[in-house]
Amino acid sequence: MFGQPTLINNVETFACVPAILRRGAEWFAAIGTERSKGTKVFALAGKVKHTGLIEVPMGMTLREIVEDMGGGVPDGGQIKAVQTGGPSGGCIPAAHLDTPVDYESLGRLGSIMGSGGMIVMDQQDNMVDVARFFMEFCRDESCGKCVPCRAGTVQMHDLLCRLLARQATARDLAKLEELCDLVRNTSLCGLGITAPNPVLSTLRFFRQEYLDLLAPEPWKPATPPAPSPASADTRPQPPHPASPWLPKSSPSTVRKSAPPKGRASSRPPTRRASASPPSATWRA
Amino acid sequence: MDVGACRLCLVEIAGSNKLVPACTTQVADGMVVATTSERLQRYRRLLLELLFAERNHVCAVCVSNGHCELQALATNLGMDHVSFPYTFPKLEVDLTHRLFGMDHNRCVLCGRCVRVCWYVEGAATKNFSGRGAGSRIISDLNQPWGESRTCTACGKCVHACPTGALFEKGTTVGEMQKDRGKLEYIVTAREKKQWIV
Ligand code: SF4
Ligand code: SF4
Ligand code: SF4
Ligand code: FES
Repeated sequence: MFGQPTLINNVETFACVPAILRRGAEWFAAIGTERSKGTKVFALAGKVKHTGLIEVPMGMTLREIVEDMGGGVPDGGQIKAVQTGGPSGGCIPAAHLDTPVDYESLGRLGSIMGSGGMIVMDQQDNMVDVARFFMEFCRDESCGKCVPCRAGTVQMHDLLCRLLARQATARDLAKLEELCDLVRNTSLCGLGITAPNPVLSTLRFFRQEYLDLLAPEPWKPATPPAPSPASADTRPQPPHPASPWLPKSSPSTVRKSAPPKGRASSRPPTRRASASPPSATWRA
Repeated sequence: MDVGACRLCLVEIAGSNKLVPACTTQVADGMVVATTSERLQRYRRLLLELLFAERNHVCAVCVSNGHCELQALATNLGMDHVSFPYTFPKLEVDLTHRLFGMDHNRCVLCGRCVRVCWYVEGAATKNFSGRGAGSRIISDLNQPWGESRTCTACGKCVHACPTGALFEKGTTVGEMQKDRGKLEYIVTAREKKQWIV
């Protein structure tokens, strides 16, 4: 800032500083696990008796946090999952409640420490709706600079709404997964890169809930129709004059051994399978 | 003045599984770059599909039909259909300017008009407003373009725009040909003191 090196940390980091200054770095580092040291503040919310801000030593298990500190689900319900890390975090199913809360363990389960949100869900919560809720947040918070985050979150949110309305088919679910992959790998900043997390983590542990919401595809024949080459446009297409920066012929890769990959379209077989595969036209 | 926003130029760099935009990444000694791969081309097609589904692109009735960079990208990448549902936003067309028009239905929010207006013309008329899917290009403080007191009517934004979003009035379907050469001439003349036509 003002041409000087600037370190901006969040309030939580600043809040740790006085205690460390007062009692020394060794004291702070003695708390927690080997790789994740100190304490962490969580905003415990959702289906627990005692909600609110809690500070726990790193490495405490999820079960201790939600059952002992949070008091478990009110009226004796069953915990189904715990969502950590805020909107771009992930859902951890009840089977993993004995996981210690530290950066590495959460990462292994596809979640993050993130902003320190911790939301407890019980059997009444539908995980697809949970994913939709967080996707809505990401969609609304996208700054709009890069295409995958700006437009991809809109489409992912719409797909989740269609699922919840029981209007989505297996193809839509495949599209959703394709979008997650796209948005995660092509977005410009952390918001877009992590925006698919709620979907990916609920898909990982609660795929059946997605499958249960799928609408049947009544029009779908038992086997996909074979592509009919007769209708495919195989004429060579001239490269457009206005775009000199695009490859016009074979892959212009600088890498020495570019393996000529199979040209088969990676898309799922669609009803429009009779159209020429995309790569065939532009490479012709 | 590349911004790395469209993500269409993402390339693979050996030894890293992160894709990086070629337009904003400096080459280094020994860097092994793959500009085309099955995965990259698939991502590029999907990104284009997202762009097409985001606004209302009807090439058959567009001033830029046949001279459009977005359309050309789609043709070159073999994007033969859009697999996402169109969102059909209701958007305005601003025809208040004496010479030019702005059709938000065709805008891809690349920001070229904003950058050329600020850094080449120096008028700072064009700006972004809103965020996410609600982002819009505005003139001054979201006034009708024709009422802008900063616009010098130079037309640089029109010729920088890759699509039919900015156009000269009086052009009809397929007639709006952009002249980027003029902009490049101005910039090379200023920056390198070379007057190359
Ligand atoms: S701006 Fe380009 S892609 Fe969009 S409708 Fe016009 S010609 Fe088609
Ligand atoms: S015509 Fe020139 S001054 Fe007016 S908005 Fe466009 S670039 Fe800016
Ligand atoms: S240059 Fe054209 S497409 Fe790009 S942001 Fe401006 S109006 Fe939109
Ligand atoms: S991100 Fe590089 S050209 Fe758009």
